Amino acid sequence: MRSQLQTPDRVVLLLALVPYLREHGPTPVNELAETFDVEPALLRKLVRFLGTAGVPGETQSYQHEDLFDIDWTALEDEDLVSLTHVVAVDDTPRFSAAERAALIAGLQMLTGMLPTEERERAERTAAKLAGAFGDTAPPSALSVTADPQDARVPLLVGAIGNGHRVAFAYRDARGSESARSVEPLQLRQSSGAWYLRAFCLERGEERTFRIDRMRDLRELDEAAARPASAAPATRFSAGAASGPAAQRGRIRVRLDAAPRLADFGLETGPVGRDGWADATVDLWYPGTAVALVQAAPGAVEIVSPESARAAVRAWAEQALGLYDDERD
Amino acid sequence: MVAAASQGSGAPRSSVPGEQRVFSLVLALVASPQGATKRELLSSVYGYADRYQHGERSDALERQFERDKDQLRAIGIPIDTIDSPEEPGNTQLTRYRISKELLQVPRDLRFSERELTLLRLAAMAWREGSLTAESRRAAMKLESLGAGLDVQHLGVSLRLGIPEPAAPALQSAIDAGRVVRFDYQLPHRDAPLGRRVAPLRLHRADGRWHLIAHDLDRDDERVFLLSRIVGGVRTEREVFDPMLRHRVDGEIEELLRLERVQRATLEVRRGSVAEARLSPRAASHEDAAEPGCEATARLELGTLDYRAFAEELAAFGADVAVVEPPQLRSAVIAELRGIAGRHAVPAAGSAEGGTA
Repeated sequence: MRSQLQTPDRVVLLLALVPYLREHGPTPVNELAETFDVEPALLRKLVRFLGTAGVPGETQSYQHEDLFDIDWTALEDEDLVSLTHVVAVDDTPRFSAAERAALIAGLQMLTGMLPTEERERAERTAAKLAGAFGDTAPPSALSVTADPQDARVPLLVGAIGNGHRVAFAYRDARGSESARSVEPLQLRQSSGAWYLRAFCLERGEERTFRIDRMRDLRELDEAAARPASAAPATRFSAGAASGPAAQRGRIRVRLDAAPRLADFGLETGPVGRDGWADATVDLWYPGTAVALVQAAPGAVEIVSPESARAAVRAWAEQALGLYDDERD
Repeated sequence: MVAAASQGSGAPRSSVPGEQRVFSLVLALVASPQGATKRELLSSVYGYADRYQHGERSDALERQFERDKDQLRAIGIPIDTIDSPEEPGNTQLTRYRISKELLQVPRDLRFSERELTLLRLAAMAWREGSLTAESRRAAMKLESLGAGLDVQHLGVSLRLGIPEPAAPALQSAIDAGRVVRFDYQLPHRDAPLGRRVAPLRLHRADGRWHLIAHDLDRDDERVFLLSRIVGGVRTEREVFDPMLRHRVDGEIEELLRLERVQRATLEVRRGSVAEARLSPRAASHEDAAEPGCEATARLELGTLDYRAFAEELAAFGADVAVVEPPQLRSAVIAELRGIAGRHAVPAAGSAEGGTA
C-alpha cells in the first residue's frame, strides 16, 4: 500500500520531477509513477499543474515566458510527459537534515551486511554525503554502530548482486535436514531474523528459508534465471506457508510492543488505561503462540485457546529448567 | 491546512491545492534575488493571490504564509529573511528569498550508479516505523539525482525504522536544539521517573536505539534506551547550548567501551536460532568444556544493558542458558518466570468465567 502523499511530499516530488525530466527527456506517466512510487492519477494531476506553474513577473502577474511548459498534446494523446520550458529551478533539491541523517544511518547499517567491496563503497558514500554540506549543516540527529551480522548475510547479498544460485543444507522447522540449491529472490529481515525468499530447484517452487537454519552456504557459478526483487509481493508472516486452517487466538498486548508484532497481523482493540489492549490473531501453527511471546517477551499474554497458553507455559518452564539449581 | 485559512478575517477558502501554492511560492522566492515582501508575495503568488484583497491585511493569509514557510524549512528548504534597513523588525517590510545554491544539491556532489544504488537501499530501510516521510522524500530526490540500478532488483530489503514511538519527537527536538521532558521507566522501579534533558543524538548500538543526552537536572551526560521512554516526549520552548553536542562522539565511544567490558557467558544449543543470532556478536565461540554438553557451544559476548539483554535472551527459551554474570542469570530467570506466571492456569485475563 502506498501511503498518502502530504503537501510537503508533493512539493518535493514537483521539485524532483523537473531535473528528472530534464535528464531523461519525454517519459511515460506510468514509468514516472513507478519510479517515484505514486499513483499515475496523482502524477498526471501534478504534471498538469507543473505545465502551468511559474513565476509572477514584473507586473505581479503570470506572463507566458515566466511559466513552465509541457508538451500538452503528448500528455493528452500518449500519456507522455515532456517538459518544454523550465523556470527558476533546474536541479535536484538538497537533502534536509533529517533526510541526510536517515541516508547516512542507513548506509552505516548496511555496512554490516555487504560484501567487503560494497561495504567500503557504502562507507565512502556516507562520508561524501556527510561532508558535502560543510559546516552549515547541523550535526546529524542519528547514527548507527552496525550490528555484527551473520556471515551468511553478506554472502547472500553478494550472490544476489552477482545473479548467482546458492546451495546450502537446510534444517526445516521439524528438524530434518536436506540439501538445497536455490535461485535467491529476496533477502529480508523480520523481527531480528533474516529470511531468504528463493526458488527452490529441488522442490520446483518458491520457498522461504530462515538464514539461521542454513549450513554450508556457498555461492554457485551458475547464473540464476529468475530475477531478484525487493518488492513486498509475498508476506513473510508465519502464515505464509500452507498448512492446516488457522485457529483464532485471543491475546493481550502492551501498546509499545505492537510494532514488534506487526508481522503477525494482529487485530487490536482499544488500549486500556493500563496500556494493554485486547487483540485477536490467527494462530497458524502450534508454535505461533510461542513465536508471539518470543517477539515481545514481557509484553504479550496469550489468553485463549488454552492449548496455546499451555504451549507458552511449557516453553517457559522448559527454559526455566536450565536454571533448576537456583529454584527455591 | 487550507481549511484553517477560511476562518477569521475575510479570506475565502482557496480552491488551489496546497502543493500548488507552496511550489509556486518556492518559484517566486527563488526568482527574486533581492527578495520579495510578504505583500508582494501574497498579492501575486498563485494560491494566495486569488484570496488577496488590495488595501486589506489578511491575518488568515499571513498565517498561511507562516505555515508554508515552516513546511518548507521542514523539507530542507531554507528561507532567507532580509530586514528593511530603514525599519528593522517591521515584518511587513522584511524581504524573503530562497537562495538557489542552498535549494539545490551542490553542483560537485554527484554519485556513481553503484553509490546511488546503495543510497536508495539506505532510504528504503526506513519505509516502516519512524522517518518514513523523510526517507520517501530522500528517495524522490535520489531518483532525480541520476540513473542507478533499480534497488527492487537488488533483492535485499532492510528494515531500520525505529519502532519506538518516542523517536520522531526526539529527532525533531535534536534538529531544533530544544529541551525535552519524558518519563523513563527503569526495569527495577515501580513507577517511571521524569527526566528533563538536552537531546543530542539517537544512536543504535548493540541492536538497540539509545538517546544520548545531557541530563539538565543532574548536569551530566546520560544514555537512555528508547524502549524505556513511556508516555510520550514533550518538547519545550527552551533551546539548549549547542556546544553540548560536542560531547556526543565521546559518549558513543564510552558506550562502545562499555559494551566491550560488560561481558556475558552463554551456553547455546548447537544449530539453534540462538546460536545463529548470537555467535556473530560473540568475542569467543568454543565447544562446551563439560563432558556431556557437546550439544551446546559456549559464547562470550559484550552487552550494553543486562536487563535489555535478558529480555532478548529469554526469547530464545531453552536454546540458551546464561552461565554468568549472576545478575544476567537472575534477570533472565525473572523474565521467564514472568512469562510462565502470565500464562498460568486459568487465564488471568480471560473474561469468560466458568468454561476455563
